[in-house]
Amino acid sequence: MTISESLLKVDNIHLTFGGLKAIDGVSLEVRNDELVSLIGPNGAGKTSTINCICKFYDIDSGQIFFHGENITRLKPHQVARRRISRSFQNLDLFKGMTVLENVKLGAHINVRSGILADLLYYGKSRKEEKELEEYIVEEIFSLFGLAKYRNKHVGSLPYGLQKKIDIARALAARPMLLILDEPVAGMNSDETKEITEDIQKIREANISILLIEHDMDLVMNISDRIYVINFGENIADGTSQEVTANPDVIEIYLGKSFEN
Amino acid sequence: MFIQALIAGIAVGSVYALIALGMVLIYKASSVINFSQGALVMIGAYITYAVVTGIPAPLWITIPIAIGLSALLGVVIERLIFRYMTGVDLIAVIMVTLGISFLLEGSTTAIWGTLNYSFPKILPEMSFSLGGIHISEVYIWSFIFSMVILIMFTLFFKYSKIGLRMRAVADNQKASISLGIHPGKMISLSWAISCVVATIGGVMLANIKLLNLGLSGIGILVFPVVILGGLDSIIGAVLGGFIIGILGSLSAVYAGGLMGGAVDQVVSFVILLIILLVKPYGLFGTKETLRL
Repeated sequence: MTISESLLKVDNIHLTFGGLKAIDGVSLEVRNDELVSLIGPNGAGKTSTINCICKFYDIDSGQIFFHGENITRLKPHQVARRRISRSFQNLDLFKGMTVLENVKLGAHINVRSGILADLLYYGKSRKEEKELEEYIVEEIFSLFGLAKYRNKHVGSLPYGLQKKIDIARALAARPMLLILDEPVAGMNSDETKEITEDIQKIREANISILLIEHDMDLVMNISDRIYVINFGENIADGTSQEVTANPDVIEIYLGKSFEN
Repeated sequence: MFIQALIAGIAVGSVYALIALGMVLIYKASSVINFSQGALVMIGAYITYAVVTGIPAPLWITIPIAIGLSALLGVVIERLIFRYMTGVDLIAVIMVTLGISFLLEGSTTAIWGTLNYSFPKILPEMSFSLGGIHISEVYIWSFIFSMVILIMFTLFFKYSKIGLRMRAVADNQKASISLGIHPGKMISLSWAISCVVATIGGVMLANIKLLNLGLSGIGILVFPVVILGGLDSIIGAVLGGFIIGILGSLSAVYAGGLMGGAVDQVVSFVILLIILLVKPYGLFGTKETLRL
């Protein structure tokens, strides 16, 4: 019996912008119920890798498999419908909408009623909508403590809260794989602690996570496995002990203070 | 005299609002400033005329057919042209919308010629007088129709799933894609709705005036309405429509004698210039801020 099956498998992908090699052969794997981190210096190609998985970029070569399916040639919205959700590094929230509307749009992916059905079966559609709201309030808002902000416009809320809403929206889609792109960047230590706890809770719900983060305490504490990339290439991978002991990783990214 | 001009202004303004709404919808969904809106109004009226006079069936069958054809036209325009114009310069997009405008006007001339047609009576008779002043029923119907449609829109965008998704695409396309929303479908839908609204506006205008090629000129008249209200604001389109409608109507009555005809059309552009000097984003438009 295999210990845990592969959920996401990125196999030797390449991406160029013009003549610039952004990704030059990155491979990684996320297994079921695993929290995998992707780390590396700025410009190493971490966010580009995510954008390739989510199909925002078309890769030049290589393959991407999710849940046994080759998703290399899918369109970005189709990838989302395979239950891969992501948060964004630079907060791509719907700024003109309320917190509830933002999170609801995340959950909409699971209620795909058509245009006509939405217009004609108004009653049924409304019932669906009510159930959706209950789910959001009970499951998502209570997890992130967002209930009191539900009708506030997200543009008016502080940065730390917006970061949470971004994760909440991604989680509302009930993903199999949640990709978090620097969830604690720019946050103070209290906020970082809160988000760390939230991520732990998400893990308890058996959702696999691919995490990009520069906060090494966070990464080392909660990751099952870590991939290190630099200049669009894999440098090392393994558990936090293995990675922190790797001389290449120390040289390129972690610095001497991590040697002990 | 004043009351009559005011009422005529409100009625015309409500039609302006409706047509402006079509432009706002497309701008919100895809950042395209649609200069072909006037041509869509015209072709919508012609299509309705052709269907209503050509098919021997009651209005409750023919009108939905005409509406359906208009929606189809919108989808075809988006699917064949604008789907391939993402990331293209704004000025190029504007030129394309002008091109569509010429294409539609040319086709209309080819099919129906340059004659005036009197539109069949499709609105029920209704007589109304206020304080001894008789108000033309067409005005009342345009007002009622416009109001009902505007309220429906507001509810649609606030409460329906599709409406919420359309707003999501308009607000942040990248994020909406990552939530599994197909942005092309939503933009297609906004073109369909926009064409339907244009057709309704066109039918009302053809009832007020005559059915001829001149109907497409409404696009230029409505442009100040959209700029006045703010390109991305539905409520702005509505209020802008009323303001331009009423001011145009009043100036036609009170200044028309001094300066000759068509002064109402000049007034709306004078207002536009003043507004743009004071508020470059319109009365209700979103101010774009660049964050570094």
